[in-house]
Amino acid sequence: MNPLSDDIVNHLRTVAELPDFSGSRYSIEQEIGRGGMGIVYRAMDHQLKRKVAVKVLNTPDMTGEACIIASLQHPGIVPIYDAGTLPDGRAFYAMKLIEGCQLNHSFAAETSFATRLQLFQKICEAVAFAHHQGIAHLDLKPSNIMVGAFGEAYIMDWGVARKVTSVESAIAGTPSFMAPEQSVGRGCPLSDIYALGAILSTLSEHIAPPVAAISKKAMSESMADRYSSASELSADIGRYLEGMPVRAHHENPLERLTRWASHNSTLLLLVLAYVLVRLTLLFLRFL
Amino acid sequence: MNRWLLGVIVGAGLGFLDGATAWFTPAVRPFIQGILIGSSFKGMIVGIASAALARKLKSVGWAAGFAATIGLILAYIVAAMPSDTGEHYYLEIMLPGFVLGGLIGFLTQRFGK
Repeated sequence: MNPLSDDIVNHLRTVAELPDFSGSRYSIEQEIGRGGMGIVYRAMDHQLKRKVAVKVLNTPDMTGEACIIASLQHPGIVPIYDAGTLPDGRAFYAMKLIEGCQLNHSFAAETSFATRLQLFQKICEAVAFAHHQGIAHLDLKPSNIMVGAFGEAYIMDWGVARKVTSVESAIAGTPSFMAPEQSVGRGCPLSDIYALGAILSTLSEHIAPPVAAISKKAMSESMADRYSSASELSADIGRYLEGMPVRAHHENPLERLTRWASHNSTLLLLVLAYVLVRLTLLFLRFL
Repeated sequence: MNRWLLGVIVGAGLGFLDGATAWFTPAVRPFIQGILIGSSFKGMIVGIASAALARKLKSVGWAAGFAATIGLILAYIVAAMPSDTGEHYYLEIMLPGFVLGGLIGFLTQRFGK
């Protein structure tokens, strides 16, 4: 008897792992993501004739992730369309399929730092909305943020998200984006602020000092030293983008002058042109 | 600040400072008072024109270019008037007038509301 080749074995394994959606409105096309809480597939919704993303959870518990996402209706949070249970007992939910890429792969080299920061502000707004609804994400990281084709940002993977009222949370998250308190199971909205600070520091290799200070403040070891909300963090980024001093960074006079000059370069150029014209005319007069 | 008010204040202020530079030309120093008034008035007209444009167009570049052109035209009218000695100061009046017009237009568009 001929043994099966590795390719065939792998194919059979993949097919065997595919969830059974026979008899439902969905047909699975391919796996597009895999995490600790489940697997995400690209699928076809035959009833509404559109592509969707279907996440099949590892557990039969439907009350957590799907219900949390369903309660968060915001342009920056991926909308959920449907939820159900597979014949094998696993829970699944269908959501909008984002045609884009993860935040850590979304920036072309020529993308300006200001554009990146504006995208970051959109992420902050979505996080602030979730916090306002009493939910902390607790696993914010670039790979959990999708950027659409038109620059829209979506926060994904709410698998470890918790209601703010529940103080204790599971020790889950990604170490480099995880706040110190999360490692002892006490994640809270301020842990998301920490993660946002960590994401901010990954936006570019060369971060301006004020933005680095914002990131540092957001990632403070002590929760009391962090921004009190994602909106406050976003506002400080906004101040930087508008050429105003940020709250996280105390400027010295030279930095203040440099910031003013770079934000008012046209004005400075016009004043210098006028002074130059006047001095030249004065010089010509005394020749 | 209201763009009309800003246009008038910036135009008159910068026009006044521009006129004050005539003090460095001894030949026209006796007429400095008239020059200051005329220059301030010229600046005000440029400021008002800039504010009018800012209502229709939201472009700092176009505002500066438009105001610079108005400044140039007004400066030409002033320069075309001969001094008491019969001399014309085209370069001395038109070149700064052009740049100053651009500056007034820029400020009015950028900081006016």
